[in-house]
Amino acid sequence: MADWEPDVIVVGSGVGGSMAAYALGRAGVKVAIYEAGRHYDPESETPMMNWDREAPLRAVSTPDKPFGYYDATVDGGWQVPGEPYTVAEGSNFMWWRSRMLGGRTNHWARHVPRFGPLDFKPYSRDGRGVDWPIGYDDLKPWYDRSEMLMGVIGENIKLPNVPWTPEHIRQPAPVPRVPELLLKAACEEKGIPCIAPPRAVITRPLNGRQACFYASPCDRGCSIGANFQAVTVLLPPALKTGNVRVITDAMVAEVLTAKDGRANGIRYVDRKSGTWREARAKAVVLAASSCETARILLNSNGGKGLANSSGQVGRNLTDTVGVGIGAQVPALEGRPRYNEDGIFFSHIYMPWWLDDDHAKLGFPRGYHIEVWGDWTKHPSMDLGNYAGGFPGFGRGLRDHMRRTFGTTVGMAGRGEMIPNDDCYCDIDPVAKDKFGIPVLRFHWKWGEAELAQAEHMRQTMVELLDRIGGKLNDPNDAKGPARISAGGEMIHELGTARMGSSAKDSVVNSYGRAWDVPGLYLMDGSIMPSNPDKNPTLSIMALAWRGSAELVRRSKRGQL
Amino acid sequence: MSKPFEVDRRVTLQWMFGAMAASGVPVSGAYAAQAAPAPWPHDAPPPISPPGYGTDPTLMEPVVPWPKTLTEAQLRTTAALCDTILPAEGKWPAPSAVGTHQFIDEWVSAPYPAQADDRMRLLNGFAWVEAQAQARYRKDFAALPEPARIEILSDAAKAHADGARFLERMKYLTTGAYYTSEQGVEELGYVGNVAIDGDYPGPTQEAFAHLDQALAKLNLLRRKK
Repeated sequence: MADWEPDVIVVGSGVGGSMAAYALGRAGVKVAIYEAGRHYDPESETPMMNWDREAPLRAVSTPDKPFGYYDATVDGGWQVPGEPYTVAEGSNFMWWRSRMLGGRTNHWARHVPRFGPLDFKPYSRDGRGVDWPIGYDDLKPWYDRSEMLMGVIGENIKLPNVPWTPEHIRQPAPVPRVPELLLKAACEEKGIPCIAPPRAVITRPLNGRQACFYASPCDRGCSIGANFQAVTVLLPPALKTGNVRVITDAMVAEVLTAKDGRANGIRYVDRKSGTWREARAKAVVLAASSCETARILLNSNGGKGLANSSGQVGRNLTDTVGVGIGAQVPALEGRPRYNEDGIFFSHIYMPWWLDDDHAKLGFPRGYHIEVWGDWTKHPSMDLGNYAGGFPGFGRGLRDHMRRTFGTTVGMAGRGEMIPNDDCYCDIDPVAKDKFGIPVLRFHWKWGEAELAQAEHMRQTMVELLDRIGGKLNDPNDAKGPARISAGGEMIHELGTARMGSSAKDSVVNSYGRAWDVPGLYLMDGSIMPSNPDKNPTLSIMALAWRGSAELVRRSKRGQL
Repeated sequence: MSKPFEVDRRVTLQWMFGAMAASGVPVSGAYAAQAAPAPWPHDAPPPISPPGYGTDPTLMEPVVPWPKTLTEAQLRTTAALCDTILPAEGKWPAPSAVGTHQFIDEWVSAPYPAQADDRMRLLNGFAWVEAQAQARYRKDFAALPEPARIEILSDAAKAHADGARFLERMKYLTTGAYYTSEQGVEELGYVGNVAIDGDYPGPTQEAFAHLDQALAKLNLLRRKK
């Protein structure tokens, strides 16, 4: 190890960093990944078939494990011990982090739509936000190969902003279950498309990974590699090249530069010993997550910031607009049981269908609807809430419980947010984490466009639930206004170091290469100039792959 | 740490029992129906600060790191409440037979805020129903026949907003704990959490038949591909 010198340092082992390591390692580039969290082995650490009763408190959410005991998040959640962030007065922002190999690819919904042609040119379309310097056709080949490597099920549909994935790339999707078929019938009557969603779950073996066996909730991770996690899909082949090494428990504080301004290393603290170290290479790739990457850039150069002549680092922070509504559906009571675990996630979703109607709708951008229910997993403590629907107690309660189990249908609207001047992160002037690194301060305010869109989501979901005779879990949902998510709550933070076509108003070019700093590349969600309703992981992967190919090309020319 | 509370509770019971005996009123269910409801206690339970399981617990072989705190007497009350809320039925056992009262002990002894709220609410509720059992029947709640237990628990919910909330939380914990147990899962008819070889089979013919009936009632159509 002592005489092993990496060509490239990659910060972060989530989808962007692991993709970079995979692509660079296979091209013969020596890569050292620095990951802030601990090593994580999904094969030995995933509680695949554990019942909730085997966990403390029946696995319910606690401050230690906000998404439940079995959730595949290590040392994280809305707070990371000893590593705070602050939120400006009047703002509401939540930042989900983990401290583990593979980052947030271990815990996510694995909904992987491609961005559509309209998504790359939002400014040209309605004068809001900014256009990307590239279009769908530039990214399409990288989407194709990313989907092939990731392993994606789904169903194509002819809609202007929902790209068609070549049939040979997609794996067959599982058939819908009864509650989904009920909702699908209501959608069809209302002219709302309802199809199998693109999910990073495989139903056929792929590159040594096993097909899904239709048990065990995906948010626990997957020991057989049947869903996408960086630790099961990208890192094993990356390490197999012999060109990639991983350093865990390495919390990176800043990017170091040579006298001529090139990025040539990092300064980091070893989480276990508290020792500060430096590491050097010919180039640095930041893929620490949108906000952490912005933090590293802002804290570099003695706190004066790096790659920020445009002043855009930390700005343009976006998240997905989220509204969720659940209902109990009497039509589903007393139905015959069969195994409804499926792929755990919903087998249907509704892509945005009103691209041509925005002028009429009164909000400029679209959303899609995801579906959930109490029928995709073994019974949880949530069932206890059903007892509240039974007056009193005693005789009859058992019958009520048997009848209502499997009758919850919920929907989650997920919409595009337009970047605005009120949403950004900067360095808190006072607060520091336990390592002494200055922390981020978040500023957040939804725009009118998002509030109007959220209200439309609410109305659509209430109409659909009403059509199947659902009784809303929260009666307030019937009249609104929609309960919009907090900033960051959808865990789709993007845009804090956006790409563009000039150094004046953007931080990087379309390959993630910093305008100001030779040898510095960004390969996470920070570079995305807009945040369509499409969940970003697949696009981060495709952009990181494309950026890595450019890095290799430039490396060969000696122009990192 | 639970000692001071125990003493306080016994003192309260002795006072209440003594006061009733001294006034010469008959201690019975009939009396209780006419009387004003006994005040709902709002004692803060003794503070506990056990360790949580932390942000990186072992997922494969979970352990509950905090000690349980309910007394034997409170556990008996809890078990009787669980079995009153969700009585045994045919082959389906009483909740206490699958350990729901022990789960509630784990719950109210946990170091997290939501569970601490329930700790306060439940311990006061246990004290109230025990006081009522003693006042009305001179017996422990757990020793009462079902009609008497139903009467006291119903009165708790009727007489006090806090009592209604107590019953609500006990219903949540009892049914949540029971229906996540092996027997409860079986009673619900849940048949998943098993590995399937090959493609996901989807609904059975019986399930489709039920769905089509439901669709017909809603005047909806299923498009069959």
